[in-house]
Amino acid sequence: MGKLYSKSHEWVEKIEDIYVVGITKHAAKELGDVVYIEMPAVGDTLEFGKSFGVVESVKSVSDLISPLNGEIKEINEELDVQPELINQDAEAAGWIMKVTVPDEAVLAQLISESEYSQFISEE
Amino acid sequence: MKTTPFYEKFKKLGAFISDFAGFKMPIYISSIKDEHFAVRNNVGMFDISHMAFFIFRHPNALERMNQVLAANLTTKKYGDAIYSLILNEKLGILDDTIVYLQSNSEISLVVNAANATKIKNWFFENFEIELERKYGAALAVQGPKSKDVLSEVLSLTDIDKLAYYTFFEKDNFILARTGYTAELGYEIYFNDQGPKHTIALETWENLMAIGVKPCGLAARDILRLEAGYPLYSHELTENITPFDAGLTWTLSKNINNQIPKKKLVGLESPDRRAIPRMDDPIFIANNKVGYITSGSYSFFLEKTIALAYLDRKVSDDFKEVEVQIRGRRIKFKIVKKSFYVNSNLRS
Repeated sequence: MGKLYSKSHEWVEKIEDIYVVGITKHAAKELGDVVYIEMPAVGDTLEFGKSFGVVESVKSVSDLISPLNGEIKEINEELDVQPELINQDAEAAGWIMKVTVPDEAVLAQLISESEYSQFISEE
Repeated sequence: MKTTPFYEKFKKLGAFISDFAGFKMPIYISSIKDEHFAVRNNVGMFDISHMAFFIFRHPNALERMNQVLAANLTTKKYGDAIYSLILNEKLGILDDTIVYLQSNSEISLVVNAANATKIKNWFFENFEIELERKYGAALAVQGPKSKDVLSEVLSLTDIDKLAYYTFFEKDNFILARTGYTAELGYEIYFNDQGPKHTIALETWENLMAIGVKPCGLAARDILRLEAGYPLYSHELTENITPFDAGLTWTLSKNINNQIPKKKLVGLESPDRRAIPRMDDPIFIANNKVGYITSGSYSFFLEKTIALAYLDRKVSDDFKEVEVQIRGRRIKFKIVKKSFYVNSNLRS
């Protein structure tokens, strides 16, 4: 599976049996320089479509919206000291959390990279 | 949606562009932080062509204009630029403006893009003054190196003579020592050169070539916030008087002094994890005592800063307030609204 995207501008990538989640390059560009990411804790449960944190930038604040249902196994602690990773590399080094997903059916609500490109060009 | 003469330049640079007061404007080009630091430490340039540049030509332009503005123009000299307010009959602020006194028969004023139509109508309906809008290219070049780069690129030998808030007119442009960043800086209003804007675009290229950083509106906003300069629709509205906004110094007419009910103050916190945003409510215990008008995190000052209106009594008697940010109460220190002070600005 390649990367999947949500219309709320998060990406999901399955690596072995865990799902990595972050915000898209497009969302990072919209935000401008990120100051702080308020992240959930390991062990927290995620619900599709619900806020799991916020990202504060110099110019605005945005909710982070969960693109899946699952349980958080790891968060990217590096973002606490280097929030600029979101601006520099949102879809790799700027990942936010790793999640286990018991029921993959929820992924059907996500869109492909090309669908996402289309979506943001029309937004 | 309108574009400015520099739009294609920003597009080519990959700027993040957004709609602003009817124009497609760059919010930032490379990074808000880098652009912000370039202006504080070196030099940056901003496209300000979207701002409404109005000219008033009349045999008694000075006298007529003096009836409308809150400043007293009659005590000023030709070549002076004056920060002033346009007030309604209740002393509410319709806009802030910089007025350029060119001659007895010609006065220009620059107002906020979003207020252009409102101001043009206000002048005509109340004072029968017909303002003519000039759509030229305009650039703000700001930062400690701004004088050096401009004298080189514009081949100016007399830029040293330009004192703070004065201007001179050259064949192709007006050069004013004005800006909204609290750094040494200049604004260039190019004369209308037709659709090609040759001189303006060449100037841009030449400034780029000697390392002047193109900057967007986001950096401009944080720079003015650090300086404690008010922005229309945030700190200034029709429900705010000059007395509330701490702009009494701009009034030199017979406007009766009022005791303001609120005061524009600065709020700061070392914590970057909660940034106040416009309209966030402010509390002392369970009493709402004010509201936020602007807020951000300053990478330059390394603290969270905000401007806020506080009830007068609170601003006098308390040193700390709590801002409600996303449901949580966060402590902020009450400080002067000028977070960044540049003691060389006027020299």
